[in-house]
Amino acid sequence: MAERGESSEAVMLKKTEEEKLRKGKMIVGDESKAGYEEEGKKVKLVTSDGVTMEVEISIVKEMEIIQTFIGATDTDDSFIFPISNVSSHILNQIIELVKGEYDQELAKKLSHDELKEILVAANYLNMKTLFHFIATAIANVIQNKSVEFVRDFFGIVNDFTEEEEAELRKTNAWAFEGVDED
Amino acid sequence: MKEEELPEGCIAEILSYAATPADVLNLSLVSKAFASAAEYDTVWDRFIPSDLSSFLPSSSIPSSTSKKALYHALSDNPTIIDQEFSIGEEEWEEVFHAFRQRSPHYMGWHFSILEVDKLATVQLINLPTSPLFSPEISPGIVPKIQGYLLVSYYLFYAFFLRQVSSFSAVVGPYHWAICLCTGTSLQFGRAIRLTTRRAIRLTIGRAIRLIIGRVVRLPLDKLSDLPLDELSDLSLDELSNLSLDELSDLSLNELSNLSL
Repeated sequence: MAERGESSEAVMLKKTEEEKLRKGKMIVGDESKAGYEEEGKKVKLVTSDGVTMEVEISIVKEMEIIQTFIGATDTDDSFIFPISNVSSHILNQIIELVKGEYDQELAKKLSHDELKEILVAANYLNMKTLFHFIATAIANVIQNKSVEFVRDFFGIVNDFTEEEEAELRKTNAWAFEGVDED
Repeated sequence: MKEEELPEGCIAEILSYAATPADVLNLSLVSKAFASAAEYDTVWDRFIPSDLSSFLPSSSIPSSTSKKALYHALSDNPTIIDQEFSIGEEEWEEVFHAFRQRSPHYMGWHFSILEVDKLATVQLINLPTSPLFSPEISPGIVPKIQGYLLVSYYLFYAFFLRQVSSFSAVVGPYHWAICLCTGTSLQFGRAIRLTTRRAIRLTIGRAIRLIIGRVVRLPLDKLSDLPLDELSDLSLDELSNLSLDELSDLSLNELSNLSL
């Protein structure tokens, strides 16, 4: 897991170099300057497992929780933002999903735990597109599955009493009428 | 991951992608957090047409209720749409495309998408020279609707079209229809009930059957092509001899007692 984080980081650092080169070439006129500076920028994120990852600004921009903060400060390269609820593994998954432009095929490769953790991370980081995307993916997995499957999927223990469950079934009886017995 | 690590907002977001209200309610049995999230307006919003007020009188739309309550109110108090549906081939295509894509955007109504897929496939066979655009339903089509007896497609697709785009919303000569469905067609039924007065659902054996509003008199030669035997002991004579007015005036209980 840590290896993945590092390799991804390495790739990103390499890209930074490329972009710096590109930036150097491109900054000729004043008009385009701001745009290119923005593009090459990285933000350092410290994950819950203590890994510092440099993430492209384009991806960080989707993280509204961080974006708000960045917007309020004059950021420079030393900007570091701790994301204590997100592991480096999950952050890497998120980066891949964003770079892959939210391809459902990518979501299919994720484990149940990863799906859940990405959902929670997307909620925490306030990444709206990712949040919708991953919720859809989870909805697809649990579609037409039994209540037991869903509990298992989320690692949830049934916290209803028998009476409460019976009451709920009664209230929502119509939803269960059409289900075949077998 | 423990339950408390999954915020209710996350659960609600997942629930909002459930295909049908029945799915949402089923999922509410998972845990208290799920039951709580299943009450969110964002979950129910997509089961309610956004242009509701454009085709329902405001008196039929309860105000200041939760979306879930609104949904139930509409389902339980079906309203006639006094308009005619006109469906062009382009719109058909749009609907079928939407169904094939299963885009959540188009799944605003709570029909069972799988069943609709089957129907859509059936319909596509008959495009573009679709007999469905003619007032009579071609006998050739009906047997292809495996397990379903649907008379008057117009009505159903008119509903489906609602979520696709704004179109002239209207119920035509097939304002009323009989629809007998099998299996888990409850959601389908409720979608119809939402906008059709006197929509009546009958349970015959295991299968859920629907009789929607008034009955279009069915020519016997068309009915005989249908796989009725496997559905029930429905007497064709009995069904076809019921006049439109007779059926529409029957109460739900009376209809339930009919030996269809």
